[in-house]
Amino acid sequence: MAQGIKIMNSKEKQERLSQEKRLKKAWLLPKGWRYWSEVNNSEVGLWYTVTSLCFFFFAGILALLMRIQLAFPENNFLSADSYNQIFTMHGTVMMFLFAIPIFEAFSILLLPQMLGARDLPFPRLSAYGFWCFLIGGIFVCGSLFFGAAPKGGWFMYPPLTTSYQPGVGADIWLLGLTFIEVASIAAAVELIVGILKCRPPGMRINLIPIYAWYILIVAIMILFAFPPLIAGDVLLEMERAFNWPFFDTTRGGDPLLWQHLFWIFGHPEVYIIFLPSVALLATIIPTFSRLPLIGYSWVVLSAVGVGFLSFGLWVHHMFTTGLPGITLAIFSVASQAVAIPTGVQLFCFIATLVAGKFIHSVPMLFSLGGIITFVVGGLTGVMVAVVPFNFQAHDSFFIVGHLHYVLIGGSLFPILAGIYYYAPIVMGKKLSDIKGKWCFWIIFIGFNITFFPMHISGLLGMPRRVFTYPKEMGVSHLNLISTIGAFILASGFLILIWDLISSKLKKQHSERNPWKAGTLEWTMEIPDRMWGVRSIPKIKSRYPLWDQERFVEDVDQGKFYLPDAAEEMRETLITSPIDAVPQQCLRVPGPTFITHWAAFFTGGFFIFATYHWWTLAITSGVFALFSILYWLWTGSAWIPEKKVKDVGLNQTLPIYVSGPQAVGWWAMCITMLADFTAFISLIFGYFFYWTVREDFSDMTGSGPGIFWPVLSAILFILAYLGTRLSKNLNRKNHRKSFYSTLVISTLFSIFGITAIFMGPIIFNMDPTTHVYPAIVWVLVGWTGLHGFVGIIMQFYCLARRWAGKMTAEYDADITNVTLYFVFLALTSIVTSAVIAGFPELI
Amino acid sequence: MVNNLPPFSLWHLIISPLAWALHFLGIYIFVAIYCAKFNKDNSPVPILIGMSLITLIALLIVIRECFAGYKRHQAGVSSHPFNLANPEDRNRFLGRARALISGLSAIAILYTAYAVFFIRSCQ
Repeated sequence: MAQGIKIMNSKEKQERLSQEKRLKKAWLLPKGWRYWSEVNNSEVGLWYTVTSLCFFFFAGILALLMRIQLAFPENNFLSADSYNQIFTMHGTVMMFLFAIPIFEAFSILLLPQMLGARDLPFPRLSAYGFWCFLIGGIFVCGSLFFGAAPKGGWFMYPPLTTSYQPGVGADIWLLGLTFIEVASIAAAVELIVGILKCRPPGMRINLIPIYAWYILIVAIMILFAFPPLIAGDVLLEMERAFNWPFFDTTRGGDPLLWQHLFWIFGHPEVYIIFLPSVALLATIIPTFSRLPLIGYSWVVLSAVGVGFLSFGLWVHHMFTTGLPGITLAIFSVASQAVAIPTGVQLFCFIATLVAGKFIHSVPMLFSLGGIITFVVGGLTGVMVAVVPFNFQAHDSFFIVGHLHYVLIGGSLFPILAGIYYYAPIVMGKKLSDIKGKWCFWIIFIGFNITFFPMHISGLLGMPRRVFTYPKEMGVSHLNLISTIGAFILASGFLILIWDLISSKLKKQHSERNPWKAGTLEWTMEIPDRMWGVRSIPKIKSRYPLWDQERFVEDVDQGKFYLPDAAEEMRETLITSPIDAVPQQCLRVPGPTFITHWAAFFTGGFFIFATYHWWTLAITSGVFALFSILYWLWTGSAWIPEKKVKDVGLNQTLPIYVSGPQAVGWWAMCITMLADFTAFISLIFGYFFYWTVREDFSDMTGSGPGIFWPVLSAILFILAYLGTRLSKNLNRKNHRKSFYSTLVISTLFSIFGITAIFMGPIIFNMDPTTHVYPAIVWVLVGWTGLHGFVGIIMQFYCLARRWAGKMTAEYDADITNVTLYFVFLALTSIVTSAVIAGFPELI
Repeated sequence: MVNNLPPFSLWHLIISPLAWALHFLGIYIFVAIYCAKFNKDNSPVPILIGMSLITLIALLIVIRECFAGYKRHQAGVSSHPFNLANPEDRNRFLGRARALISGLSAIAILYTAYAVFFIRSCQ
């Protein structure tokens, strides 16, 4: 008999069964078509994964079409126009609809398990993000079937996309992707709060799974990388739709600004794609080495280092644009420096492999294949970081070879390893070892046959993004080899699909923890019981299943926290960021269709705007706003029936928390950091034009003056102070003063918006004439729009108090809105200082 | 000994890489604006002065962080790999990570300064 298993008496057994009954009721999956209203992380994560993989295969088929066209010189399988749409879509779909969403999918699916949590803190936000992703993805991909797909490359450079591509394709790219980017930021918020606030007690910061460290860093990177692209999208769309000349040199614009904004996003983006896959390697390798990861703190520092350094590399995509030597030098140096922390991580993995036992398995095969492939790509990366070499290799097929080695090696192989590794948890079944090995070797060999020759054809002079090439170039045989390799590669994926389907259909479930891993997600029962972890454990080690005695038994017997759902509600624990001290018992919402409506109307806003159907777009936007308000009203900041709850192990915790300890406050703070970054990107644009264009300074005397911008800033500061005062009055339960102060603050907001618009209006600033009035209008419009959102928030708080859904004690709404107004006041101060004060007052 | 240390915040972990980022941005912006607006006689002196000043400030921050991290790492007797659930292990881990990231940031700062030192011209 296994040692140490206590035999429970029948009373304990009865209690345990009742607990499971209540947990099951709280976490019950809706049946029939209502299944799609579910919001818990297992379902949303699964849908996200499947959808991402579908987009992956779609983009893969596009790649095969490209390879057929390029197999022979002067081929006419695809016209130039079709080819341009296809390569643009291949890149766009792979980067935006597969690589980013798949990591979000894996994290949403697995992170709560790894952290012993029942769910992420904002399940409806994840669901909303997923439905936005699905709608946006179908919209963007669907354009291909109408011959209306974007065709300017995945990076859509103006002036090609402003002056030479008047069709709707570029707008589909800009608007279709913007709301996918918003979904990514939503996922980032969820993951940051989840990792820092939803850990099991005892899981101090030095004990968190290495995967969680990586995802934390990546989520923070998303906050600062995506907004510059959103800012750039706004500028590009304003130029295309309304003729505001941000990238038109004849009217003071500069196409290089797009390149800067795009690549400030684009380079961190590839690390956002790479790091979560490395996180999978860092999880899988210790399991199959039967050894804790060697160099945990080195790996953490390297991930933080890569996260930061990756923001300093972007100009290496622009080496050939005529920038001065000093600029090229510092970016070249940073691009090479990033290899240091990257290498440190790989050395730690190799050390773990060498020091431990080596257990052969399919996940390990894919992991090693990934490391080898990534290292080759990394070496060619250091080559292209060297400026003189870059001048030769830029925009040639050498780069295509490089990028596929790093992306497929560094990102895709680990994802495939992750699929094989986590299939028992996600599907309840192990995938086939034999099919897995065939799959790996065919993909590995096919991949190298496809992409290695590209380095050579590139150096022989074959440019990228060309639909054909002349026979005389001498690259015909290399291209044919690449095409054959591509089909071999594709057949490897067919084996994967076959394996996934046949394993799903087989009857026998996997044993629990089939890989004998040490981390928390493997406490999960197979097949899965809907509540996730049976009780939220107390952690004492990085590998609790290896180190803590009777750990799984104790979890199963409900001997830890929240073994029960006494009120039949969905609950998880909130803990402190560094030491994971329990702070709150958080109740999370359950199934709903409101997220679908909100995503549908948000999608409608962007999709109708693409076609310039403004009335429909605005109507859809208004409905989206109402959906979101309804969702907040019914699904957030619930006043509980009691103040505190016993969560087990003699611990009682509050159910409702507001202020800096609350997850909602964190979400507001993190979202506003991303929003503020987008704003700063627009400010960067203002200063960029001032630096590079002589005529910009000549125009700055033409408006908007000093009075109106300064007045606006003062009014917004007053609006913030008033909101803060009303929060304090609410806390002291001075109802009437609360109402009057908040109403006055709302008036300040309204006047602030009016004032900021008065400047450009009074000076008759026409944004179509020159980039100076255009950028002023954008900054003014941004501030005004945020002011408008602030007013809605203020009204919401008034209504919540009126309806009794917010009280002196339960005041999360006004607390979070006050935080919003901090950022709004800051935005208006910066806008006013820049448009009124620079450069005249210096 | 552990209790005498100031409480740790996760923000401490990012001060050094932030110093690198501000150093990088500082040099980039300084060179961009100087070369576009103030470069009359193509003299390397202002670039060298600006670069040295910014680099010195950044390095001082990073060196301070490195020592602070090392000091925290030295406190206590818990041993590598600091994977136990007690404050001492957590402190030593965080101190170590802070010191190591400072080292990396210092290298990155010096790399950048080195490149500027060699080119020191607006062309």
